[in-house]
Amino acid sequence: MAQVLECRVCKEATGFKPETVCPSCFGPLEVVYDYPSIRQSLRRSEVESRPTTMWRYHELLPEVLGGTPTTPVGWTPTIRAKRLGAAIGMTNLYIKNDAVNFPSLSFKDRVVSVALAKAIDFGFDLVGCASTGNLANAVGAQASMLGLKSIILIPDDLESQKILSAACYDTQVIQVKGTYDDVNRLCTELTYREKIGIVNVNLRPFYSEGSKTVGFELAEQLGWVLPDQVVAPMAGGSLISKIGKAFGELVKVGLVDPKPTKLFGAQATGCAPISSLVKSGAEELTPVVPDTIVKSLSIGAPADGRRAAETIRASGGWAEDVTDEETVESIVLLAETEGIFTETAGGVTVGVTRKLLAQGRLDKDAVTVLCITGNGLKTPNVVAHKAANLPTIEAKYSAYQALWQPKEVKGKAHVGTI
Amino acid sequence: MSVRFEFLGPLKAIVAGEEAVELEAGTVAQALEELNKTYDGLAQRLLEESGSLHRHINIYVNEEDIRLKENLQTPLASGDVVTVISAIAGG
Repeated sequence: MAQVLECRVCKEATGFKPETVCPSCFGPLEVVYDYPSIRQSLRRSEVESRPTTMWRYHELLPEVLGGTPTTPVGWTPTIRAKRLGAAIGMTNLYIKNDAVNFPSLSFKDRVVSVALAKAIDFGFDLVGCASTGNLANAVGAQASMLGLKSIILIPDDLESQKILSAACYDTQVIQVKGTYDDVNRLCTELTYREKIGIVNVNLRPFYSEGSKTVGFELAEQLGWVLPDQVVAPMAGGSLISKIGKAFGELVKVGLVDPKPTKLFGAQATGCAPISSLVKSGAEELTPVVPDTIVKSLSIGAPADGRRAAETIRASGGWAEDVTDEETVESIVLLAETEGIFTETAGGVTVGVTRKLLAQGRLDKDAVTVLCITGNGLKTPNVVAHKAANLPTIEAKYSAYQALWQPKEVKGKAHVGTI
Repeated sequence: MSVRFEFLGPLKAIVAGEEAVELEAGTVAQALEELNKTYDGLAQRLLEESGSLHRHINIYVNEEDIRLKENLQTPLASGDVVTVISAIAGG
């Protein structure tokens, strides 16, 4: 069989089934592929000839019995961020912009695309998720597109804007009293007691493979070259681990040349169990109770935290965390310099980049990609002050003239603007 | 009254497929020691070689993660419900 589920701890292999832990040792299950065979048959030109979706790398994603999905998820822009680079002192800065992912404006569209395709394969009539917000929208949107019944469980303190669209999809949103960790525990229990495919619980080995497409795409978009440095936000710790896996796979199948890429993880100081683990050098992760405005990264007991820390350390990278104030400042900086409006997780990523640069841990001239994973329209409250006290004028040219004044534009010399 | 231990999903295999096991113990560690007498290999599967809770296992006392309390030394009182579950993921 070309693809199997393998236990990351004891290496016992099984066929695909909706399970997340090894029946023998309870270690996490991982999809592994027949790399030598893929290397023989897959060429860059073949990938480049395919539709511009995340599924153009389908040989390196879980096989879907119903055929490769055609939903246009992924292939988001990787842009050269010259003006942000100039503002923070980096000369080779790029942004992978999943704030404009289809259909729900976050990188979670990728993982859900894989999870729901496998849910259909496994015959689930009902799917669902435990969510900090972005996943709720991704599941709601794609379950609606596919005509699957779905439920979405969220912590009751989530930003209402973030679930507004989820509430409009053909899904049932259920608020659960407690933190995300409480919600996830309930979802885990649901999979044991009901016939339901929870994308980030019993479909997790397949779901998490979708994150790799961030790494595949940015390598292809950089001209089939791996970057020198990547900065990515960390919640459960899966994304950064899977970006590392993606780069390793591209090398294994011969699509890119080997190159050491340093991986840097970003968290909010109010919920930083993984960055604390990296910084302390400890063996075991210590869970925390989240206390931050960055709800999308508020996972106090991240399942892939230790793996993320190991991936970061092995790459020669590092992890840091920033305060809520630094997060908001960085959201505004990214918007001002690159016209990209990101949610709080993106602010964390930019903020941590500045911090790592100040610490000398990031090379300012190396090719560096920041992963922006979600859209600012989902967390407008944190920057509401920017839209307060806007000038109001009479509809007269004299009033306009009286108001106009030069404003400094970050990353450039003075430019007259309003 | 005693403490009720619930093992969910694949972890039920540790206690021979039982939905729940009732016992008396002062701490989580004592309870696991007691359970290990009945269910051979239980401690080996739930704990690291160092004796700490296995990184892929979470234990909740009345729905609170013991790692946020006193870990394996978390005290148990009569009527407590202890849930043993595999580690959870991101979202």
